[in-house]
Amino acid sequence: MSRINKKVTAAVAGGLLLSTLATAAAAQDGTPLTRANMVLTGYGSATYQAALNNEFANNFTASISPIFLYNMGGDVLFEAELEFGLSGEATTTTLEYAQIDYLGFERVIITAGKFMIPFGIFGDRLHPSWINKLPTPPLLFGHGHGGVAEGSLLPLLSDAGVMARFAQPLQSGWSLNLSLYATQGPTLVDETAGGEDGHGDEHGAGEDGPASIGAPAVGFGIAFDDNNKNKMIGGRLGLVKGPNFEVNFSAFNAMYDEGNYQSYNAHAVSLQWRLRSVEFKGEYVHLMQEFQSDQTFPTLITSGYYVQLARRIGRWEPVVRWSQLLDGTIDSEAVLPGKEILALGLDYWIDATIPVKLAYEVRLDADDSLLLQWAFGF
Amino acid sequence: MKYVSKAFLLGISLLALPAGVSGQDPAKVAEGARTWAQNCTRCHNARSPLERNDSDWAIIVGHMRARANLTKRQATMITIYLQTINRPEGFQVLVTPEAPEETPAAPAAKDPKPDKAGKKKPVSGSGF
Repeated sequence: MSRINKKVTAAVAGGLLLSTLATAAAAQDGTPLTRANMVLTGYGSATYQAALNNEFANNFTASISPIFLYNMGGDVLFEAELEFGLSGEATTTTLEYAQIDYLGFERVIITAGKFMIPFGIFGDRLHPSWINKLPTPPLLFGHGHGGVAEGSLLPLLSDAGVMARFAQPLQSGWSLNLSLYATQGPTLVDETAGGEDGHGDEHGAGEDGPASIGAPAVGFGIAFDDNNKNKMIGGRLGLVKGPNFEVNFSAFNAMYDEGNYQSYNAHAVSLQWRLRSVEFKGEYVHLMQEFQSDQTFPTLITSGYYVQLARRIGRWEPVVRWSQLLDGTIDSEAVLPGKEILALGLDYWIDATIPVKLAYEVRLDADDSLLLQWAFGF
Repeated sequence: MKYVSKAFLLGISLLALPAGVSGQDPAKVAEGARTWAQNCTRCHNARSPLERNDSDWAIIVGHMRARANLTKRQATMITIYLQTINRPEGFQVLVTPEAPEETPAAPAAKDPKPDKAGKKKPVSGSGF
C-alpha cells in the first residue's frame, strides 16, 4: 500500500472512530441521526491551453474536487476534499485535506488531521478554481496539492498535524486572527525515484531548479511516516477590516532530512485590498533552504511575489496579474535564474460561482499561451 | 459590490418584519447579514442563500468558520441569517417595494421590471 493510501486510510479511520464516538454520544442524548448531517460541496473546472508558437502541445485538462462535510454531532466537524484530475495520459487522485475540527470554543478552533497550511492566503483560501480569477495559480504556487513544487516556489501546502486558529474582533470593524500549527513537515525527496507520490519527477528542481545546483528537492505532505523527529512549526498572523482589507504575515520552520541537519525556513506577506469594484491581491514569499554540499551547509535563498488587480464591471471582470520569481542566491550570488509571467484575463460570471475565464499569459522564458477555463463551485 | 449591499440591505430590511415571519430575532438576522457581508465576500463571491437548506448551511458555515477565523458567535449569526433568507418569505423582502404605512420605508433594493404577466421577477440572492 502506498504511503498516500495509508494516509487516506488513517484519516478515514480516525474520522470513523471520532464519528462513532460522536454518534454514540448523540444517540444517548436523543439527537436524531440522519443523513442531513452530511453535505457534499466542492468545485471543478475544464481548461484548454494553447501554445501560441507551438513550443508545447495544446491540451485540455479537467478536474473536480468534491468536499465532504460531516457534522459528527455537537461541535465536531469532519471535512475532506479529494481532487480528481486529468493530467497528460494519467488520471490523478489527491487527498487535499482530511481533518476534524472542534468548533466548541468561542474564539478558538482546533483542527487535527491533514489540512491546508495557512501560509499566505492563496493556498489556504484562494486556490479553488471558482475563486481564483485566472485559470492558473500565481507563479509562487504549483498546481499540485502537497508534494513538491513544479516550476514554482512551493506546492499548495497541505500536511498532517494539529492546528489552532484564534479570532479576536477589535473595535471599528477590525479583527485580529492567528493560526498556529505543528505538522510532520517537509521531507527530502529521492529524485531518482521520481518522487513518492508520482509528482516528484517534475518538481521545482527541474532544469533550472534547486537540483541543478545540488540542493535536494523538498516535498510537503507526501509521507505518512515522519522522516525525522522534527516537526514543522509555523503560524500566520492576520489583521482584517471588513470585506475590504486584510494583511497577513506567515512563517514556518522545519528540518527536512533524516539527520536533522538541514533546515527549511519560509516567510510570507500577503495583502488584500478592495476599493469599490477594484480588488488588489498580492503576496511575497521568501524561502531559505539549507543543504549539505560536501562538508559545508550553504543556504539557498529563493523568493518571489505576485500582484493582481481585478475590476468588476457587471458580469465582466478584467484581471491582470504579474508574477515573478527572483533569482535564487547563495551568499548573495545568483545561482538560479528567475522567471516572470504576465497574465491578462477577462472573466464572465454566468453566476456567482460559475466564471468563464479567458487569459493570455506572456512568459519571458517560454512560449506565450492562451487559456480558456470554465470553472464552477457547487 | 452590489450583491453585498443588497444582502446588507436585506438584513436591515428584515428588521421591519415581524419576528414571526422569519422565526428569528430580527436583530440577530441583521447582525448575521452584516457579519456575512464583512467576512464571506473578502475571498469569494456571495453564494445564493437559496442554494442550501437550513441543515446544510449550519454545516457549511462551520466549514467556512475554520477558513475565515470566525468566532463562534459570528458563525452562529451568519447561520441564522442564511437560514432566514433561504426561504421565499425571507427572501421576498427584496422584491417587495411597498413598506407598510406605519413602518418607515426600509432601504429597498432596485425594483425589478415586471414580466409580461405583470409579475415581478425574483432577484438572485447573489446579485447576479
